[in-house]
Amino acid sequence: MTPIISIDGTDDKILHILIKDARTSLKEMAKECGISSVAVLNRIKRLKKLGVITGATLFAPIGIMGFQIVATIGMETDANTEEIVKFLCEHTHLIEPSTSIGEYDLCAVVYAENISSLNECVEMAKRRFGIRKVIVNVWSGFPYLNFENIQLNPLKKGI
Amino acid sequence: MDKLDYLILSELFKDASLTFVEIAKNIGSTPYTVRRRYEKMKKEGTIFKSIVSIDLSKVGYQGKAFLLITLAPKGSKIKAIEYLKSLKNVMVVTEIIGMYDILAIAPITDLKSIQEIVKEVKKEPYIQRVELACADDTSFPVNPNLGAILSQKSRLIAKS
Repeated sequence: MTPIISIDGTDDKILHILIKDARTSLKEMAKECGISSVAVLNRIKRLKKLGVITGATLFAPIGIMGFQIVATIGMETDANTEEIVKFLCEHTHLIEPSTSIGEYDLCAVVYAENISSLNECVEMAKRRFGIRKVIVNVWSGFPYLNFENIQLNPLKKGI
Repeated sequence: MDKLDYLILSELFKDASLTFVEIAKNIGSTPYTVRRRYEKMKKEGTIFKSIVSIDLSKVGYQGKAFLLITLAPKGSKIKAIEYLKSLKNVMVVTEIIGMYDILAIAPITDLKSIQEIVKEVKKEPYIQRVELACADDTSFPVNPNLGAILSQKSRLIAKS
């Protein structure tokens, strides 16, 4: 198991500001946290070095990139799930592939240009690996993203 | 949207925390132009959010729970979604078409935390059934794979 890094109150505040907007200036963060810009920078550097911060993700409407569909797929299979994940990563726009415990052996979020390309990708996986059952759930409406809601010190009790 | 816009997006999809100077250098433009384009895209809604990427395993999470929710007959979808949004640690809530009605994603630390989240979800009377798939992925907000795919796609569009 990877060692758990303890996040103190100020780190937590900085991370939550960055979750809200990863391009917030050091000056603004310093003001909100009540410490100097240098201190903020040092904390960010430390979090990067420890591997807590791994970069930043841009959110843009997927329509402009030519994607129309986001779907969650679940698969039931006896085949090696890692191989399937690898195959799907290479051939489809799979974004969160992972083996899973529970209802399905493999579960992933996939982007597709349209319904037929989604169908094609599912069929491809089915044929190649002898997957018993594939469940596709297409996301409809605008997903509610609530990333600021996350707790960054989940193991600390009594907060 | 023109070629330059897509090139800027391509860089930002790779890493949204790049400075305008770095982006300009990578795509052969000036920081001033990049900033102007960025601001234009932000205003028009082409870019709506940059979120810091975090490795959740470092702070103690072990994976993500995908909660596949079925509503009770005549249950209000809107109310159920509102309720799910209010739950601690729930990161994504979306309506889905298929075997289930709603998908919610929350990070988990251990078995107990899975139990807790399922228990909380079941408190809403409109929710009839909760099915669970737990993934071992601890990237936040989404898998870095997404950025790589969108960056590549953006570059392709810029070239065409």
